[in-house]
Amino acid sequence: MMIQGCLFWQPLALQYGKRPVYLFSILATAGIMVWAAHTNTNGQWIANKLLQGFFGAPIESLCEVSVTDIYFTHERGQYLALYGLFLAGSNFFAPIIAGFIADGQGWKWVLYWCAIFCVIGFVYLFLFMEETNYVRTTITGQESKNGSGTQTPDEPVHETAISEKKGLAVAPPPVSTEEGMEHVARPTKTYLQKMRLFESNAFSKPNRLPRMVARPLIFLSFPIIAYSGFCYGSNLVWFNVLNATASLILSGEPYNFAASMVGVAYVSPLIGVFLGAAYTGKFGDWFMVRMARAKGGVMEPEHRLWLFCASMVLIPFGLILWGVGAAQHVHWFGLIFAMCIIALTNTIGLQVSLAYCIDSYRDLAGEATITVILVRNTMSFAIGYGVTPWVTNMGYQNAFILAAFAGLAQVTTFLIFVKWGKKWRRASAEKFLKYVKEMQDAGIAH
Amino acid sequence: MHAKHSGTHRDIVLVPSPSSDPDDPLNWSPRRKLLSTSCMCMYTLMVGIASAAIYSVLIPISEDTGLTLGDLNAGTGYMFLLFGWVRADYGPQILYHG
Repeated sequence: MMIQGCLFWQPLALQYGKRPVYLFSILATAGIMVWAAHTNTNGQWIANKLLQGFFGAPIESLCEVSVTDIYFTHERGQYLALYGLFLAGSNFFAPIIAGFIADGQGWKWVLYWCAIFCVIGFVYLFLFMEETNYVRTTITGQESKNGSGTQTPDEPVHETAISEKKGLAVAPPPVSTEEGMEHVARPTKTYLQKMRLFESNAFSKPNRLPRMVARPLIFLSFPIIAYSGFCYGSNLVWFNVLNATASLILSGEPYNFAASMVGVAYVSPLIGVFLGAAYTGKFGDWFMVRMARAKGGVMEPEHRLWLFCASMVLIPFGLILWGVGAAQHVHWFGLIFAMCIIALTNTIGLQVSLAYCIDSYRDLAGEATITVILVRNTMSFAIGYGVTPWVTNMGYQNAFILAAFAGLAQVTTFLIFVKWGKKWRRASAEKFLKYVKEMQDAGIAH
Repeated sequence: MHAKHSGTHRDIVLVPSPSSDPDDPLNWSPRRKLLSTSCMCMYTLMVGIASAAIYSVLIPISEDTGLTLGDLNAGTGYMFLLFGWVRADYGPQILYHG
């Protein structure tokens, strides 16, 4: 039943190219939106939504990998934050504008406009999106571990040999230089080469698709990856609980919000998402560099977990303000403020968990991200089913006091990984390198 | 130590280590990287809007097509199952109808 779209698209994108997957996905979504405007039976609607979920699935896991394709570890925080901002932002923003479109042009135009937006997006991507898959011969962490870049002697030698033999300047042989970036030559690709749907080597790589589907499940045995999923899931749960009760509380006594006003109330979590993105992105990257300088110049993935300190205060605060506030009928602004805080902690959870996983196992990032999402979904479903009867039976006040403590306990687990995370990463090094080797041989490592 | 350093901060060692190929995405010019990032954001925004826009107009859709709110939400639940994505704001709908 739980066929996950990302288990399908992600391997395809890593094997054959991200550009074709993005283009196909957004164009298919446009078509599905036009169809949606003409559905009038339940079966059609379900089929429509199933396909939309299937074709839109790259939005979940592929974008993170695209960020890691082009940015270095110390820059990644702010671009992952930017992605989180667009993802969450579009979700809160869309219902607000949709209401106005429906008032002016009717509900079908909401779907038509979505299709138009997707086509605009398709044209933009078609003209400007480059393939970011690249077969690199250096592995994260190996260089520093051995004190020199001698880990991958085969490729450079090979490359030099070829260019000498053919008398072509294919690519300058990699040189170890202190300046690095400044001596890089001009790009060699023409615009048309960039716009090709598939890279020239896309189909020459051996087919590793079955292993690519299997590996995300195997990665569950890495403590860091499993924990990142747990962390992501446990932060998301509180936002699910908030949403399960939002329209109930806000449109009920004594608040009596109209449906449109409940929609407008979602401006508040939108602000929370912005604040969270600023905190984990700009502040987070600054904090990582500062910590690295303080700790003898080594940046460790565990440093980022300290950003959860804010969540230790904000999660209980937000949940108590929301639940107890609603039970005690505080002024509506208190509840709106709580929505902002809970969205903020949700954003912190999303970004710190993903960044921790990716920083730890950068070379596995693409597939490890799928593992994280699988864990998160499983948790969300497990807890999700129990949550509604629990809140209803216990009453807002007690349920949310309990939730506040549960949330505090969950977030506090980051201290375990601050203490032992590094040890566990070391212990997994051999296994990690084995899978990186496997993926490199497949030509899909990052 | 043979390592590549950031252009602006000499004390930062670049991880992952870029190759010296100018078409290595890690070696792209800032402008080329920004364009690539804008494409990723564009994709996220447009597909994200398409997935979320109907929530404030579920009632008009329901009135016009005769589909019940439960039917509409169940469809959404299935969509998110396939997204592999119990997204923050619509988790509850899956919870009720999925």
